[in-house]
Amino acid sequence: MVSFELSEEQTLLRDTCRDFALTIMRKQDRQADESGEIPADIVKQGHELGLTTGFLPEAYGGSGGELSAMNSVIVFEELAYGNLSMTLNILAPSLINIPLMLYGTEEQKKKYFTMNKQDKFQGFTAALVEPSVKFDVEALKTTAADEIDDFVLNGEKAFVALADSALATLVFAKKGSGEGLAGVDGFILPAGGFTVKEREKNQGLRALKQFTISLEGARVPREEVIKLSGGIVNLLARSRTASIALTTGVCRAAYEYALAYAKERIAFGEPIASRQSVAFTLAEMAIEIDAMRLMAWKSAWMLDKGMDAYKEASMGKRYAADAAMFVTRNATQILGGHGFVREHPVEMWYRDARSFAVSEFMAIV
Amino acid sequence: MIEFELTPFMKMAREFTHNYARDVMRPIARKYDEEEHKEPTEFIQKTHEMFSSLGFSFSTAKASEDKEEKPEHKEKHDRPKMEMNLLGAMAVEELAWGCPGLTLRIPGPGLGGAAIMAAGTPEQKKRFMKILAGTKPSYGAMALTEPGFGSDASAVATTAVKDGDYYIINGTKIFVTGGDMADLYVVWATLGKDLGRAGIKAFVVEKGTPGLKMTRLEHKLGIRASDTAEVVLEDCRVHKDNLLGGEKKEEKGFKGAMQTFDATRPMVAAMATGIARAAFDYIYDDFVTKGGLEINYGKPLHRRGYVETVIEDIEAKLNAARLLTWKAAWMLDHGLPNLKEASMAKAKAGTVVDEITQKSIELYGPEGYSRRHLLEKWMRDAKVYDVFEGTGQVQRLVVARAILDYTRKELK
Repeated sequence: MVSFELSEEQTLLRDTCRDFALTIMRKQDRQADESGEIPADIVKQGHELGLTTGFLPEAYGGSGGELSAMNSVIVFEELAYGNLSMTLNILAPSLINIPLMLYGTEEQKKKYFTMNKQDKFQGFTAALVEPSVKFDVEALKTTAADEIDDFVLNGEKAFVALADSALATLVFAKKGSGEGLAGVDGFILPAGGFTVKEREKNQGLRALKQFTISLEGARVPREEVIKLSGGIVNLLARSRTASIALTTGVCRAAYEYALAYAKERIAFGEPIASRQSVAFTLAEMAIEIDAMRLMAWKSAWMLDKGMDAYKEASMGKRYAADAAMFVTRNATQILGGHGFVREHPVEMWYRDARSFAVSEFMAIV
Repeated sequence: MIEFELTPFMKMAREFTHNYARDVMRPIARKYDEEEHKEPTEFIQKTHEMFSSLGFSFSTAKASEDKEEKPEHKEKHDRPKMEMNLLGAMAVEELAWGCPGLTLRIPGPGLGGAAIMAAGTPEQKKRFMKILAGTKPSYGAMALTEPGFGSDASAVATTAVKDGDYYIINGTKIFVTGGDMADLYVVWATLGKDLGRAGIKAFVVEKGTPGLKMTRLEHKLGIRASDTAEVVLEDCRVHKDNLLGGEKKEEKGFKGAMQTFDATRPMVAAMATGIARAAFDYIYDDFVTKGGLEINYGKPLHRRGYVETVIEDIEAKLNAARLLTWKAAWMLDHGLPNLKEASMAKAKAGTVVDEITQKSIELYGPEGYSRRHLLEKWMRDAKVYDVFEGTGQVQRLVVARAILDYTRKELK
């Protein structure tokens, strides 16, 4: 049975997140982008939506809901429609929660899931990407040497969100014995377990704090290792499925803004939207957004069915990232000179959207 | 709940049509491309028998409002009544994968049938669908385009003048798909230019009606297995009972023609997807399956070659077109207005099928240009999918008006 209809619960979830995006995130998105700071109350309210804990077992303070990739992609589109930096900050706890749900031991689950409920929960994060133009998940330079009681980690990671404040950081590293993806495991380090270097300065995602970190012989006890046994492929599939949904959200933000602007902006005596050159561009943008949303849904559906979604997600992510350049570039173009000035948000969405082709957000769905 | 799992019946229909396309259509695809205007008699007969015995017709979709009124082939199979458009989209993708020209040659209600289902009264649907689902191969053609207009269907110049219980129709219709073999034609004519769109009506003109003449067959770039005819109506007398929607139903005239497209555009998009997939499969087979090229999905670009990324991009575009098509068809099946989505699907599929078939030849090199392979045929076949049933520009116009909430006057 093929269906494109959201369930009642999904509709409610979507509307709640859309409301949060418009009434909370959008109000401070520009300020956050300019200052490089996401207001703490936004992150707190975001956490209260329960998106990163709803699927945790009740025994560990969660709601015992299902881990649904479909629900995730539906709400991620809405959150990213609000603001991408804030979304990634709010969803960061999932960077450890989800790998643990899928591959963690009971002790690990207990230890980390309960941390989500702490009063001053600063979130979790994950470190995968390395500072290299030839970065390749299959050839990680960060290594984990087995020293009987502990693993010793060496290497550098880049673009690690919230590395300065997160209570725990999941570092993906290659074990000496492992080959390619099969040799990649996750190592959980506590705050202060590595050197936080300078903050990344990016084209976009400027409100999100990201850092380069240096591991320099960090010791990780065996019980803090998430044995993935090739599960990194699944985590990448989840990462990329999330990416498609986030791309859809940012694109929709830019598209809707440009659409409204085109109806109001008068040139030669009529709204510029009444010219086919502008109207057709908007139509193309709308088509691409629908297409990428459907790809996110398809990929999420496969994940929830337990199917191997790696190819679907990777292909969809690449398609969406390309289309995102088309959509956000044209949104900026439709605003003309006003698209280029920072009074309007389209240039921010254009910069944020460039991240999709080059980022690996990791498993947040 | 969002679902992408096909029903067992859909899977079966897909597999069945795919096998038919592979075993029956592919082997003769080149022949009927080279021998334009030659009737594929054996194919028509064989296909008719095969689909009749199965009890469904793939060559048209049904308007959503007519779920209960399918006079033909009731309940022979456990086909899900609700999903005829989606099922149709899946099936025609497979058939077009075999040969798009022959697909359009498959007997059945055709575009004429689709128009009857969209605009006809219950009585008319019953009467005409009986003709189109008879024991011998039959076909319903749509006669809308004229020498003076294509996309602008409101410019109909063919006239219908009332004469007692009859209408006398005069005019010339061109680009009538299947116009050489049709058992009936849905002819769009105006009751008077001063009435504007409200005066445009559709009449069912049956084969053999005096004054109805097929005057020319077009010589085309592609889909040569399907004939496209010019039809002239000269003082053609048609009974008022053949006026679709009846005489009083003003709103069913022009709107009826347009509603036909809600059902047919997803089908056209599905066929375009099928052609694109044919080209994709062809190059994938040579480069990947036999040639050993590895497609490193999701790997960093510095590790990847040009050809493999092109092949990945082609598949992604195919997926985009198919998903948009399925959604548009699904909406119609569930009674949801799909005007915008149908045009989105067709705009996307019509674009990517050109891109994909062009690119496939490029990847194949000089050999791709040769008529030894079907790639060059598919590129020629593809072009019309961004043209008929409304050009790509018209699709974008429809989508743009919908998203901007603009009238025809506000967005010309």
